[in-house]
Amino acid sequence: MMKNIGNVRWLIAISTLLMSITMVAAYADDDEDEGGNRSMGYERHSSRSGAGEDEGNGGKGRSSMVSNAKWKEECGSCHLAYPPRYLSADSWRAVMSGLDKHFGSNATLDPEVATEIGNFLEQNASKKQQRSTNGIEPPLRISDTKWFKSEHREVSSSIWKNPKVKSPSNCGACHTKADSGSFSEHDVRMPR
Amino acid sequence: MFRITSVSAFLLVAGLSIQSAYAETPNGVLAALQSEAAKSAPGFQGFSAARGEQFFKQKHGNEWSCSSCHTDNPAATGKHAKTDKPIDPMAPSVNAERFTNPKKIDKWFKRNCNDVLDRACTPQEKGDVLSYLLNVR
Ligand code: HEC
Repeated sequence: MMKNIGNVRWLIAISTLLMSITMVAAYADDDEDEGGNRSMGYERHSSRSGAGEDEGNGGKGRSSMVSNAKWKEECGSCHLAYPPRYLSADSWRAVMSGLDKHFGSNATLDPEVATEIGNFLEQNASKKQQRSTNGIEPPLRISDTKWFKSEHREVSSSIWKNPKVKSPSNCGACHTKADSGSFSEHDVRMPR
Repeated sequence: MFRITSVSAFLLVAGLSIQSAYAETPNGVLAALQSEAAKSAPGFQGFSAARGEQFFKQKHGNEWSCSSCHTDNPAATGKHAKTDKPIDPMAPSVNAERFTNPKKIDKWFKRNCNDVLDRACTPQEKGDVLSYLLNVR
């Protein structure tokens, strides 16, 4: 009988160990994904012809495709999960502190989730101070930054008015790989 | 030896299912709403899919109804009224993920009811809507 109890304790110890191994494996997977994205982003970024365009927004070596599961899920359920590098940290702080009235929608998050996403955004934000075109600082919309206006200066007004575009926030209307974080000129297809 | 492996396999499986706890079924969610409604409204007389459909398709003083984003046909893919982003169908009969995650359900009822009604939805309203969605084939 004593021996049996000893056995059971031992089994519990082993199973607990096994469980924690499965959990660790899941986390390790996440990390690898991120690493994979990182190097992919770097390659695409540095090999494209228009290299340097994004430099003001974080610099060349920084990833185009840093990722975070909560950011992707929460920010990405109503719109594209906008890459953190297109706004500076003060803008992201302002966005995150007004989620109860997020451009007309309630987008409130659990406090822990909000903290995680806020940290991710700030850590990967544009290092350069992004200025707004309408005098409201810091800009809350990427499309209100001087950088955005300048990048899109050659886009004609008929394209902006195309119902398939609808709004300058609709990156995916022209940037066919926006969803995976790539805004390379090679992937731009204007809608007709 | 056989006992050792079978017992540890059992514990392992038990442990894994604890990790993925909180999975629910739409009918389980409905039952929970039912007891909530019975507690909070003294004259509670059960849910109505017809009332839920009306609630879902009507505006409630604001710009949007539920169907502005989820469409009039909950078996179809919806489209976000502001951003045009596609939204997977709401009817559990065509989208098995719907109403299986209580945290997600609470989060979206809170947000969407706020946008559509400027207030939280009551357990009665939530249960009516879910009854309607469960009826859609
Ligand atoms: C402005 C657009 C919009 C409106 C209006 C809207 N919703 Fe939603 N709803 C969403 C989005 C986006 C999601 C999350 C995306 C997803 O789960 O596919 C969602 C998810 C949900 C969910 C989560 C279901 C689940 O288990 O996955 C529920 C419940 C819900 N909405 C109910 C409602 C109700 C009730 C109304 C009306 C009071 C409403 N919605 C109005 C956009 C909207």
